[in-house]
Amino acid sequence: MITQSIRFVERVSKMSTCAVAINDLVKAYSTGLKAIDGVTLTVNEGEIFGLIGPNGAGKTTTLRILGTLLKPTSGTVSILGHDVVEGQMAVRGLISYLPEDAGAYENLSGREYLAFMAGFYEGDAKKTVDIGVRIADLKERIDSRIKEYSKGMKRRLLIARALMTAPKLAILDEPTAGLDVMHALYVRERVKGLIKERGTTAVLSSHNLLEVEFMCDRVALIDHGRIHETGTPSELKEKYGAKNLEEVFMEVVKHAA
Amino acid sequence: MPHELRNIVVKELREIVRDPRLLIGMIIVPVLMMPLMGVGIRSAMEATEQQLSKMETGLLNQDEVGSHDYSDTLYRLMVQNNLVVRNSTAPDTNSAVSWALQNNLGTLVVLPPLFSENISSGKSVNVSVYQMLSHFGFDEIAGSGRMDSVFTLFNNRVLHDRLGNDYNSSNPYLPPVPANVQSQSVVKGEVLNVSPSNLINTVFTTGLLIPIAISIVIILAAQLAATSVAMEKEQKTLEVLLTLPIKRINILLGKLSGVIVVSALATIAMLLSFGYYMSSFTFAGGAQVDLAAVGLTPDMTGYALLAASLFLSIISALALAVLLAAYTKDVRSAQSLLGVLFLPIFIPAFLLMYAPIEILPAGLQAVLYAIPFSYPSIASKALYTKDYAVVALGVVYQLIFTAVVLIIAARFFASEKIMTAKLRWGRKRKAETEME
Repeated sequence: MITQSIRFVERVSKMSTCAVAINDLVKAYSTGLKAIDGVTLTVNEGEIFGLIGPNGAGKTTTLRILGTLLKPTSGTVSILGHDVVEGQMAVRGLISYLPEDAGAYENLSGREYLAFMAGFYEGDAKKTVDIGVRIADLKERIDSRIKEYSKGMKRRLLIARALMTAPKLAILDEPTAGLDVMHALYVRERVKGLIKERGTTAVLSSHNLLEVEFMCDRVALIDHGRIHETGTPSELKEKYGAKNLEEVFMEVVKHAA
Repeated sequence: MPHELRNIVVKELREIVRDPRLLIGMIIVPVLMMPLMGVGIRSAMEATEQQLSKMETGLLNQDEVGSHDYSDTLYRLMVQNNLVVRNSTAPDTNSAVSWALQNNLGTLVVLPPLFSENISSGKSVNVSVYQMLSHFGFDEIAGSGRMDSVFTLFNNRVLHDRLGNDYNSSNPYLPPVPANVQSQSVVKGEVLNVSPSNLINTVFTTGLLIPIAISIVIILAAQLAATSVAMEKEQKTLEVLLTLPIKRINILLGKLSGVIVVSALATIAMLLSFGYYMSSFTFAGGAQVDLAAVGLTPDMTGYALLAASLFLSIISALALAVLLAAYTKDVRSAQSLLGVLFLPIFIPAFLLMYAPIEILPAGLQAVLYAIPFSYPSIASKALYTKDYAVVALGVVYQLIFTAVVLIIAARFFASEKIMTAKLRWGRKRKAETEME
């Protein structure tokens, strides 16, 4: 009886700290291709969770389902207790999604873009924009047209857009892809700092495993739409006797094949 | 061809041939458009000819026959020229006009008393010819022209009889024409003292700009909407927009509203520039008629129906353009795929310039009535004919069509298809959803 009570308390406590709960998720397309094939995982509140895997493994599809862009074929996905299908409007109020290689409206200035995006959220829009301007840290170029920005500047603006509204869950698809070392470092540190500072939860995907190791509390290795490993970077390295996540990744992919 | 150049050409061709959106817009649509226009225009011309062959001419003969029966000469010439002539027994001209209208006759010729006697004595006699106009179409212009030819033949015959071998129609010193035709137009039962050919020319040339301007505005608006959606897809800004706490229908309506505002400005600019263009030269075929002076200026009802029809055409074209653009991944493909919309927008506008819808074959009429983009052209004709019933029904039909297209577009936006829809080329030549 006591054991059962303890288990119940553990389960309730686990549920209350669970930001993302994915249960037996399947996403199949009309061509018959299963992009996701029975994924189950949880992401705790305040955690930075990394999805790593080769191209076409199902990372972006998983993130798009979290972002309410795609619907699961079967299985359930909930974010802070809201189902991504039934409660998609509530979910959209809690999340911030940043696609890989996303662009911005080229004829707006950086500040106008942030103001446009802030307009969709409750609260003081001006204050939100000020936060965004600080996160982007583009100095006087924040008032230049976005079409005049470099790729790195654009990404900094988009990261600022994604985080300025203090989302409960940030979904970041390849946040530093294609950036030079300076911009990548800035984005990495800024994202980690802000997320930890505000207690935001984040799910991100990346091909840069050093980046994942630096940023993420826990990671999942996904391939052919299935999760093959989940754990903290140090747990996984220890399990596979690897020096870094790249070696873990190679081992897991080899076994999965 | 140098190797490098050939390599690039082969790559370009492969890219185009393997992209169904480019092929549809650049090859299939033009290939379909010209034959369809040809078939449509041929049908319009045949319908005009058929209408002409059915057209009956009334003759009110007030002549008293003397030694020469010139009224009989004229009658025979009319019959020889394949006119179906019906004699009127009306006591006066007004009654004859009413009789002609009641019997759907195309033309009424009124020969005055002493017609034959005056012509025999070498005088020039005024003959009134009334042309009944209902839709200002080519058949009515042709009807009026046919009557002019009959009188030219008549005058030549009379002068030849009178002058014998000295007659030469190119002689500038010929006596006055025996029968001087006074053409008058009858519109909606009212006799207007203007030449029917001049009146039809004026209405045609004034109204000509409206369907063309309307088609251009609809296409421009559709291009704007398609580009807007395709650009958002290409730059992945749509992906972000769709995850914001905003109703999808508002994203769609916001996009459409933005384009509508720009389209309204484009409409005004287009009409102003066309107006200037049309007023910058005079048209062949006679003097222009002051439409206001003969009571043929469009009224508020006509303008309101035209505006409603144009507005609904733009909205439905925008929604269709958004749906088409959703099946593309970039602006180039969207612009090309949009060519599909050119067919139902341009073909009705061109056909209805040649012939009014009511004289076309039933099948073609059904097709044109089914195309919602036909109604602005029909409405622009109705500005002069004042036949508002068809236009009003058309506006109701357009309203239903627009609502259905908007609902489909809204559902499309609300679903994941907006992210995943693409055209497949090959065994499955249909749109379907697939992972990117």
